[in-house]
Amino acid sequence: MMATARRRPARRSRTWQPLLYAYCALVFAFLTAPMVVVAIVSFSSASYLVFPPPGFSLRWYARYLNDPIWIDATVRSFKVGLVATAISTVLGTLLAFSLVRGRYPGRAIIDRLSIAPLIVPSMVYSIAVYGLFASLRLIGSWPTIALAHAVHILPYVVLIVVAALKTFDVAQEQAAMGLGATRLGAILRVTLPQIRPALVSAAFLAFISSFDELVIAMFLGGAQMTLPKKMFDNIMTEIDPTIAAVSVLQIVLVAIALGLASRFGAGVKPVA
Amino acid sequence: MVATAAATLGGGRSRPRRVLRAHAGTLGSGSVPVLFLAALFVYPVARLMLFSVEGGSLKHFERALLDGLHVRVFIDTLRIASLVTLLSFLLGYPVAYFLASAPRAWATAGLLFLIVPFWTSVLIRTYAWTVVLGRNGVINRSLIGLGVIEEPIAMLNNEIGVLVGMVHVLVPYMVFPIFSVMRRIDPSLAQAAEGLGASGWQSFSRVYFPLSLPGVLAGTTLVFILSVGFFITPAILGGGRVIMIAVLIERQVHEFSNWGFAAALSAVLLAASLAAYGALSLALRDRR
Amino acid sequence: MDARPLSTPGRVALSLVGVVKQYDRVQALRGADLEVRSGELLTILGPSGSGKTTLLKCVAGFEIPEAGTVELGGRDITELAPNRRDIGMVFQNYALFPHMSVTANVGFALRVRRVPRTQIRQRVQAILALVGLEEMGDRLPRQLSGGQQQRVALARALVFNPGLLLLDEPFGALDRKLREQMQLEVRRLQQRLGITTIFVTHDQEEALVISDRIAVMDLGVIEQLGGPRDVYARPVNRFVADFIGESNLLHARVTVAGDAAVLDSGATIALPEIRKPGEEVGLLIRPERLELRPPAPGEDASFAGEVAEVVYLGNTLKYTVRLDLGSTLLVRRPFGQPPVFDVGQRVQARWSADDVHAVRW
Repeated sequence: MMATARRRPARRSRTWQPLLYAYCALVFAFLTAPMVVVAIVSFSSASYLVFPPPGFSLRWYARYLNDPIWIDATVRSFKVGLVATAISTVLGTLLAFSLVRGRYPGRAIIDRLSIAPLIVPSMVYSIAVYGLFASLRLIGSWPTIALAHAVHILPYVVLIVVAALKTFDVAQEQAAMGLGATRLGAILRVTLPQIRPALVSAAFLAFISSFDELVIAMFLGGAQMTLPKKMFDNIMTEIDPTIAAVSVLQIVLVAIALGLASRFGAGVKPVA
Repeated sequence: MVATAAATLGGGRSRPRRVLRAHAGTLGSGSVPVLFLAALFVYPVARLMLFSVEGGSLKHFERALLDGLHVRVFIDTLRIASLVTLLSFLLGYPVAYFLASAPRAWATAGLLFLIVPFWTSVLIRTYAWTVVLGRNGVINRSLIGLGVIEEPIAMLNNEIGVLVGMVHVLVPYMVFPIFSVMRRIDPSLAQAAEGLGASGWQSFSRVYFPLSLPGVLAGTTLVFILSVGFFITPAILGGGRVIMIAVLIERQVHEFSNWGFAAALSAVLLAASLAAYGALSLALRDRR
Repeated sequence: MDARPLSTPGRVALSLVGVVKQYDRVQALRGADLEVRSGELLTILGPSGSGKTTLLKCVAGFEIPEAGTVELGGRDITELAPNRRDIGMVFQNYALFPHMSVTANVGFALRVRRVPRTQIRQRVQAILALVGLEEMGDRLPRQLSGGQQQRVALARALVFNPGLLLLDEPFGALDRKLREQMQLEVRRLQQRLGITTIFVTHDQEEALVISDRIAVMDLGVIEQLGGPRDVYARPVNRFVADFIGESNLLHARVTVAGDAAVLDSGATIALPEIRKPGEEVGLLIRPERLELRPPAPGEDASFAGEVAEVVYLGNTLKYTVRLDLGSTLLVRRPFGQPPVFDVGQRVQARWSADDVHAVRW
């Protein structure tokens, strides 16, 4: 967070400040209201979509938890997310080190390449990778989804870790090496413990991005549905509020993960 | 003691092998991810691009770029993406300013309002809009209940729904880059302008806004690139009536298995994204 | 006076020959030669951008030079990895590991060398006692004062008995008083351990206080190497004369006879030694070697002028004298020693012929 000293004093802005605050309140309402509506609908007792709900019930939560298709999709999404996160965090960190510390010809090209999956629209990448895996007859197995997701989220990891490494004082790594540690030893003992917050948030971002990803999973999954694919099908074909319950559970899950990430991501403060 | 004459290196570009050797480790650590990206990113995308010119003919591009129906899709896509970008800017810029200038507690609360939707799945948010905007949705029910209208307004399965849903998803992508630039603007600059006699509006428009421009450029480019390739929201809220290019590509593959044409459409979409990204890089380079 | 490095009879601990280092387009080192004797404290002194830190990095192994060799104890270490060089280094901002306690920081080098635990504890305690921090072992670096952090950094660099100690502007972050205290402390410790030390700084005063010898660097080469008195009194060129201490440097050309030089203004000044006739030189007269007298026209080895500014600096008075010939002179006189002059007074600035030193322009 930033220092209070950098905040702009409200001295001159009196006339239009209430307007700004009111406008922002409207934007915030626009951003959150739909989710509040979903939360309310998820507790509806009606068997079709109606607002406001006629009564309170937990039947949609029960339906989700007792439907093997939903649970199956959820479990698969966790597996995909964890594997994709592991791959992208490890590879992204390696790549970030190479980009920040390395001096070799072609580094600029690799720099571009590392964020390219962010610029290529996900639909384009999805059908590209679908074409590849289809030609290898690998459609319908979740590990291929995890691989493609790892590509898709790699840029986020690289960007976050690169930013952390750039602010990290190389002298510390050099100090460790001067004291006799190998390069790898210096990185493991000195650098990684200190950029842990960045690694945690990168992994977190990676997991959520994979867990939410629809388009790649839609093409590669075949009959093996991930949670987003199941939700998408549900939205397109049914109107019962099960999906609202799923949504609320997912929002809660993300909130818990955010809390954990900020807890374990708390960094070591640098020496003054 | 004067040192020996400077040894010159031919042109200064070539590095002796021993310097490269010292950096071999960093090159090595990068090689695994680079191979990974080459195999699972560069190769499939290049392979797809080759499909678009299969048989050495440009017929797929002709169909994509000359056929009235498909030109319509491109125009719609660009129009919707531009509108979404503009609306996101109009909603996002004041919010970014608020976050950068409000007292800490207010700003933290505001950030929460932004982060929670940001972390919520696009599917969930899009679903939420079907509940809000539907024929029997929250808005129509309320307006009918209040007697403002008698017949429900159609807000789903048309462009209104798509616009609302996309803006909702993309506003945070506009706010974050602008905010991160704004928080680095020295507040004393605006004060200095005012001290020199500028009105509040003048100091904003001549000092603060130009300084925040790199963030605006980054935010608008990001939002534009994302919205040009958007699939989920138009697919769900457009109800088959609003066809954006990503939706078209998906249909070509899934329903018609028309790879060549899908590849040509992808090439055009990719080119548009790269062009937007290139323009941003150029614009930001000039500002440094 | 100190001998020239290449004729040194003593043992050479470290030698650099023709070291070249290039960053993109900039040549940071343009063929640097240096020999460091066993047990001495040698200071590399130069302005920022002179290449002194790059030189240190080449010694430590964080940079590999494009050309030239680095030898430590007779072994070529030019391309050796830093962790196999056995060199202790104190970094500019200490580079203490913020996530480790003082004990863990100091013991790091021993742990990576797989020294037995009990022995690590003993050696860490011993070195902490030596720097006066035996009570601070459990603290984290950020809980220490600047001077304490500096001592931890020193202890960490010394604990594994390295063959060479490198100090990269280690006092830069300290305030003046503490800095002076730490300078003496480091010097005492260095002499007690007899460890060969290279010290990098841009602060010439610090260099004069602490060093056995000083290597003055500019633009990627070592301009002069010698004892503190040598580089102060007998700089080899204009850069060294100007960089070390305050100086009056007057542009002049050596006469045909070679025993005097003619200033731009036409005045002639006698030289203490014969120079090459016609050579372009700078005449160096240190401000404290000048004397101010009431006007006495026609006197040798003096200029007439007017006091333009007087600054009290506690123990000295600093005069700026505007000469009738056009240029200005700095003059430093001990405070309380008459005669004293005020701004606007006419004065005669005098020197003795021995105090003039001609340097290459």
